Amino acid sequence: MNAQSQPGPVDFDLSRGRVDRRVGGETKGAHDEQVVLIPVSALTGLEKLAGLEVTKQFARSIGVSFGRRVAAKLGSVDGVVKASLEAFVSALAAEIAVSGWGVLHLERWGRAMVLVVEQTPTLPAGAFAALLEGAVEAAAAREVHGVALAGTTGERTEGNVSRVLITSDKAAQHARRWLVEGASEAEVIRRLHDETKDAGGAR
Amino acid sequence: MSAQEQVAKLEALLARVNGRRGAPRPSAVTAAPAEQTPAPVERTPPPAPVAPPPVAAAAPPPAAITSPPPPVEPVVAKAAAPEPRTPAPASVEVAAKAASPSLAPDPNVDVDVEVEEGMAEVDLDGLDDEEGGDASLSDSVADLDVVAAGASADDDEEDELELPASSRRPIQIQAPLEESFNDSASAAPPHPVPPESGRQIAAPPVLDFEGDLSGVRSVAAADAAPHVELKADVTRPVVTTASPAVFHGEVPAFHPATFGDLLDATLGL
Repeated sequence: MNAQSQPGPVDFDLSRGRVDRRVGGETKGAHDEQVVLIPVSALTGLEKLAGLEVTKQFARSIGVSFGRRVAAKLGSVDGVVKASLEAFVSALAAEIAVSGWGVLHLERWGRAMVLVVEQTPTLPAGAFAALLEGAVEAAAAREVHGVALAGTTGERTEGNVSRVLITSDKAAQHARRWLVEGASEAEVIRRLHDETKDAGGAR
Repeated sequence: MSAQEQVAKLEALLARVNGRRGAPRPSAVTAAPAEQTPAPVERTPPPAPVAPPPVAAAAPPPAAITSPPPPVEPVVAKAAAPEPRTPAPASVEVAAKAASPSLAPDPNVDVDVEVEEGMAEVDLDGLDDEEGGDASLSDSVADLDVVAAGASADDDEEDELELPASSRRPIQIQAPLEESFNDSASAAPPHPVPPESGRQIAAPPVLDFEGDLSGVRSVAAADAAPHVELKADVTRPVVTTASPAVFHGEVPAFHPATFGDLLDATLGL
């Protein structure tokens, strides 16, 4: 286990009734963050009370906290951008695992980046895509959009696998439209690459 | 029938008997009729005439038996000698030196009985020695050579006609009608005496089925046959060196060194 995969301790101060997530070592730092433990069912209830968009924003805010700790672990936003794929994935996967959201890995389909999380809890549709979107955006300080390719619509798939495409706003809109039209995950990614070639943006 | 007619008939019968006594016997039996040797030789009562089996009467006699064998006359010595049997039917030779009818049974008589396979010989040497100097006794001594049906044939013929073991005992062919009325002929038993109880008959000859004409071969002979190995005749296609596929261009390789490069690439879609 390397340094990036160390999630940092969770400090349970029972005398004060406080739980803190620490980024660094034993001592408290500036990036420590107070957290609370809430059940997953609270997110499902939130969707029923406040709607899907509020739930997605709530999940996205959770992801932003993960991205900030990743950037703090890798040194800075510039450190995240210059970090290797393995280093970034290890740091983000550690944060997701210690919080109980599942096991993360990264897939690269040509030029497209797909984040895959296994053993995920059941979340409302698009909530997990919003969580990963906020994590990558906070870590890299870039505007990204997550598109749920599979497993993020509230339906449990085999092994509870969530696949989220990280892309631009324009490409995310096309991908969501193609998915609604019934295109498969591979077809959506292929079409995105085809449109990039037609626009002369192929590298 | 009146008394005169009976007397005339009896005289005719007596003359016929006397005429037959003087005439030579047609068969190979050279001994005098047993009835001429008086008392000490006692005959066993002749068996009741047995009617010939219908098969023998209807069918001709088997070819193996060329001449009807003469009846075997069993000679029984009244002296303490055991009754000789003729168990083997192939050849029976009885040589008996019988005493005169005036001789009484003597326990000192040495009776030598030899029974071999196919031959029974009764030798009354004791009687001969005891009464050797008596002229009347020497006159009454008779040598009997009785050759049975199988024995009447010579040895060469017997070798040629080797019968199976199950039919070694010859079957008595029906005697001629004239001999049937003869006392000597009717006294003979229709069949030879069967073998002794418990005595095994000769084993049948071993049949050889391994001849070349039988077609039967042993396993070892089959294994010794040369094996013909089969080899596949392989015909392989001629492979051309020309490639069936044509490639154009190169696969776009993208290997981002950092997470930022991948992020730029995925945001550039």
